[in-house]
Amino acid sequence: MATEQKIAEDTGHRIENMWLNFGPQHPSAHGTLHLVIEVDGERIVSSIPHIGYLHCGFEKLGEHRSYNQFTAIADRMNYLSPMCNDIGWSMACEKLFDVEITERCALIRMIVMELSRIADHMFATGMQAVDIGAFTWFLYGWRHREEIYDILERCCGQRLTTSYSRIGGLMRDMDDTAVAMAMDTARRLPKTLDDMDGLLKRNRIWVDRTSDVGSFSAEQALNWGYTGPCLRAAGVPYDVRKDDPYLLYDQVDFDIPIGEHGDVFDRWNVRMEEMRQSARIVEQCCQMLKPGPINTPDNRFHLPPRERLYDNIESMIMHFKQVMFGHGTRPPKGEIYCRTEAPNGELGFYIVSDGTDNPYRIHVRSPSLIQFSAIPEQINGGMISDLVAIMGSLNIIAGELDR
Amino acid sequence: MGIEAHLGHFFTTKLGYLVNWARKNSLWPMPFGTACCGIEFSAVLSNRYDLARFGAEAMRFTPRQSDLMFVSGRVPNKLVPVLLKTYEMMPEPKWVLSQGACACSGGIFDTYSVCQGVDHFLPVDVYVPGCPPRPEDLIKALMMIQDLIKTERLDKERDREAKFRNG
Amino acid sequence: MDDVSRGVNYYKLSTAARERREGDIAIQKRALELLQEKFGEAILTAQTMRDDITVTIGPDAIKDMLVFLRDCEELKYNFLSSLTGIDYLRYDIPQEWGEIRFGVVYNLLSLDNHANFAVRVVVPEGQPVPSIYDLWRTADWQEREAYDLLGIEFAGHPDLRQLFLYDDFEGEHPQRKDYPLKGKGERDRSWLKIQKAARGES
Repeated sequence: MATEQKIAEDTGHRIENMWLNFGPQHPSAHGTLHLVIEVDGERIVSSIPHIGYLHCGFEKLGEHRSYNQFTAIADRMNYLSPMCNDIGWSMACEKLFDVEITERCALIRMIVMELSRIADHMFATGMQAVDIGAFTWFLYGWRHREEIYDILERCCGQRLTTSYSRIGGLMRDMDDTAVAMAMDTARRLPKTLDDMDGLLKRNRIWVDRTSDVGSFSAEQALNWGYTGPCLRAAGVPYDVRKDDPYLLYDQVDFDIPIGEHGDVFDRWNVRMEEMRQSARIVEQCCQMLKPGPINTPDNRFHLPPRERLYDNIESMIMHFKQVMFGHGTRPPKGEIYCRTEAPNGELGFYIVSDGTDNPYRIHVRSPSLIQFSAIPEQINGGMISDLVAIMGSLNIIAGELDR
Repeated sequence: MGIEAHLGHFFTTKLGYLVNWARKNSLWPMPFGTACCGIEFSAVLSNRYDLARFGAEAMRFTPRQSDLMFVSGRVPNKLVPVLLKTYEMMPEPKWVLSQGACACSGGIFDTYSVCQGVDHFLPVDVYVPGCPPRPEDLIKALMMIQDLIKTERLDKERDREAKFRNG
Repeated sequence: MDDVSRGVNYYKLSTAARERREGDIAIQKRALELLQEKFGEAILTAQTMRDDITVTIGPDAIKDMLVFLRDCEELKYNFLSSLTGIDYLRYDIPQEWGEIRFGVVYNLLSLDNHANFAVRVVVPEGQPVPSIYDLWRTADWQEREAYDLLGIEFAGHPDLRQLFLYDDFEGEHPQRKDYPLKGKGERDRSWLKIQKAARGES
């Protein structure tokens, strides 16, 4: 630039761009991400992302645990939507072992997965708002998050990191009070979302900060492997629940919101609308629930009830066979890939089994990793404040990113 | 190093009481939240389990303006230099609260890349077990730190790094 | 290894969903036929598990095969779902694969035809796999992950370096089967190093 040249001539100094560290400890509570950005004033010239600050070796740890034990570990990946991980893992195992689940189990799984989706989107959009400066929005939505935590606590005793599902069934049944609470939350959610929409959707500052920021076309999004709300905001109507229905998603009525421009504003809108659709699904599932068993009749996977355990020898043997190391249930040898629609995108589990009771190899297709890899493409040329908005809209969860 | 440095050997109980009262009722947290425990920490700060009641309201995510560090979540080895730098950037007096099984002792992650407890590096004042601990546990932990602060003396500097100096 | 199971919840799915899954299975079979016509000798094995087909080949034909799967009008596998690196050291591999150590599995998805497919490349230790960075940019970090944790080299990748591990990590490729879960002591040594540095010793 002319000014820089003049300064260089006059003073003999060269003007260089500055390299800044954005992270790994930074105020946007997205976890431990590290972006090294080269800035020219306020504009980002180039960026290098560094990850691995939360790498714990999940996949290798899974090779030393049995299939049911990995549920507890899988939970810790996407900690904003706890149930989606362990139900995704259980479904992958059920595909591998070829186990059918009961209808009540499928409906309860759908209820808790959609409640987790609402919780995740509430937190993601809340964090996005906090990054841009709207703190009230975040606290407003937290009330529903606490209600969802209460429901999950009633189901399994834990608010976060629930480990609720097992292969072929669930840990415990969902009692009628929990179902009533879920129905109540789902009914009241649209009104809260309307109020929250009123805060931000037509707010001049919000629209200016988020429209046309981080636009990603459909071709770019597909090339980079985006899935979930980020892909739908770019205009591609791909949702695993509609594309390759699992559980009983083909028997409930819901729509998939699609955006146009793929920018931050569209992603936010898509998440808001998905919360409404999740509330619809929860209501329908609660109405479809009928009393019945939650565990598959196949005895190899779920522990026998305690009353029978101390009474007869077969139950005790089945209990030991599942719990003792080296005696667990063995799948056939082979590999499978099972995908579910997590709130962040397509969560896939690729399991290689060698016929023993520990998996040979587990690979988690984590949406956060794929979406974060495209960050330089999205932020280069923009401003630092746009970087913050874009990071918030991608909903990067470090646990899932680094595994 | 706080107000103590300027007092020399002059010691008053009332002044100490006042200073400790002020410190314990305005503990500004430095959330070093990495994983699931970080979300429970957000829950503590939110509407239901409001931590602002205890004075821990100003959540400046900068270590320069905080006195209580919450290490929430698993700390892999790659993150330890970052954690140490953040701790060293906090001005005295400072306290450390290790939240969750992973921060206390490595938790379920006994693997090649996870630090088996931040107390290998930081002088931890209160350990909060749980996976993740409930918000009520965090509030109880904060109250325990407040009790610790109540017993501090102005004339004696707290020597928390002794364990590390002597190896 | 063929089996005839239909996967989870097949009988509970509605007719439309069942038809969609049937369509998926039909397209996978058609893909296998087309691949056998075009790449007959290059295919080492074709395995089916829960109706999903995985084709195993050596590293020479992989790029052509993926381009064919992507561009063929009948198939249109235009999305790469996942790229997995596997260490087959302690696995009972089929004889047709030969003396190999590592495998890379590409899980493909056709968005228009709603179909899956999986292609596996098997290589001995030290031999690089061609990178598919130019076909799908999503392979960028997934290949880096396989390189970092397993040591599989990808020829033609523009920036193959560590992703998760750090420079001082003394061990190498911890996800390999002959590497212990708790590491070889590098986590203890690194603590000691940091403590010494903090005290000002070397």
